[in-house]
Amino acid sequence: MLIQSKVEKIKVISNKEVAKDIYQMSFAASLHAVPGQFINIKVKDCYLRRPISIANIEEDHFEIIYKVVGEGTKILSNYQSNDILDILLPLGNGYTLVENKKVLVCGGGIGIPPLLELIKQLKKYNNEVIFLIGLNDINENIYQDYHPIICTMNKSEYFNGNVIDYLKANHLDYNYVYACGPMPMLNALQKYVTCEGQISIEERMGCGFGACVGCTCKTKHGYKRICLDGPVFEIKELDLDEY
Amino acid sequence: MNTKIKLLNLELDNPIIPASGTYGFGYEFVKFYDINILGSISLKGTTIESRYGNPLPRIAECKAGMINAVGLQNPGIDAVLNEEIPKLSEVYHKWVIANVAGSTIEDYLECAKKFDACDKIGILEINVSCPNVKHGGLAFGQDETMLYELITKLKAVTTKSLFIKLSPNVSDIVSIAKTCEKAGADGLVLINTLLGMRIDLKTRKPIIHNKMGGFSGPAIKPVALRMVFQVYQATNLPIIGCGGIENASDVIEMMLAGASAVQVGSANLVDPYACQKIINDLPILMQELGINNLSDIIGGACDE
Repeated sequence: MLIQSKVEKIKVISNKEVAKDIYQMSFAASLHAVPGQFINIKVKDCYLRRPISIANIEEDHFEIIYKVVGEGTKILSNYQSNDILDILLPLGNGYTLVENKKVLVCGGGIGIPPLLELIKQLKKYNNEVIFLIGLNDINENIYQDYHPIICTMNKSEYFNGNVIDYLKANHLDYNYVYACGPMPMLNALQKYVTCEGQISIEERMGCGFGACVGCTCKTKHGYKRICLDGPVFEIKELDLDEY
Repeated sequence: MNTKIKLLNLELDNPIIPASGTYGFGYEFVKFYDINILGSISLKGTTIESRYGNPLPRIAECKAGMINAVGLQNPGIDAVLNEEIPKLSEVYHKWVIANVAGSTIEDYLECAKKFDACDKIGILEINVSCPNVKHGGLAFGQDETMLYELITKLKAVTTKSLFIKLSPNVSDIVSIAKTCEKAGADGLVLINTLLGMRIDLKTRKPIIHNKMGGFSGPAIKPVALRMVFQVYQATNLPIIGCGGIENASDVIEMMLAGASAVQVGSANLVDPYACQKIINDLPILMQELGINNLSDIIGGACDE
């Protein structure tokens, strides 16, 4: 499904810190988008827009969850309710939804948010979902409502190791996989899983809509623009060792 | 308000042209607005063979601008002629500017010959200023002997107007512009990107995989204006001004410096509607400034 991208002035409903440096931002707009698509936000005093994935879509509003990692996200974190932002949206291809499958949804760090809307949609299509996430810091677990299996390195009651360690140690029953997270996780997952699936990747972008070819990657099906032809790819489509 | 301008014998409805590398092959922007409002379009830099370009990351942000090190990714001239231009022709009904790049003189000549047969193309923009390729590109734009040879040879293989897109990464732009004129160039495009870089404090390494890249955006407008201003007074060649153009005021300013037309580059990436807004705003600003014919103001800031 491709829905026309356009620039909109959109009102912020809320922008709150939900874990250290992690913000949940809600916008007052009815957005027609699919899980895995992203928005490109014009932030005050920054030249380029900031591409951030969509975490939740409701009838009259939508949400993003982002981490303050640099200047742009720092400024973004200062916006408050009723501020108006200039946003180009929705962008990217998004995940294709499967039906009647046993699905492993695997996320890591700040790659987890787009999977939340995905899980919501997958359940509508009669899929059984196993949600497995890796967190460097257990305090970043803001996903309880989605009942994830949590893997973390800092000693806690959760599984001690990364998501691949967990998959190796536990025999999970799934026949399709969706993933989003840091490149080492996606790379290890790509090598480990035998079933089909889709992964979403991240890259520094110029425009976010395919004009500058600043984010082109090599795939088995030729060159693809991560912003326009991606950010979601078939799990075996990319040579992740190149990244 | 008359926004029409002429580049040699070619007429444009207005001087607004999206710059090469920021507008793909044009048709990608149809989802945003009717691109037939544009004066013309400068197509993505084209080489003989298809190119992937440089490894990622290719993009870094700066204050009031950006750095790119795309490295001339393009599908190669045959695909451009047989696929991209026909696709564009379905949605865009005016002539376009083809941007020619290469590593050797032979590459440029072969590209120019192939483009020569394409009626859709009004101008060949010769890219001797790409900072992101190892061989050729910028090297041609910095070496006057090589540049002279390239232009004279190109003139012999094409009947299209040759506009040479020059690099600002030189010590004397006027001297290079004069060399182009002497060699038989029909016009100039000033300027391509400035060579720049950014460093990531966390990794302590350059952000761009290629380390350096081309710096563009509003931050470079004063450099572009200065070079257009200098070259306008030193040669008789028509100039397409390029560098940091974001709005109608920038267009007027660039034309006062001596540009006959302008190219809008990075602004398209930040705001896909940038060219549309400029085209809508231009007559309003002309009225405010008492300009009836846009072409009357070309070089207005220069002495004489």
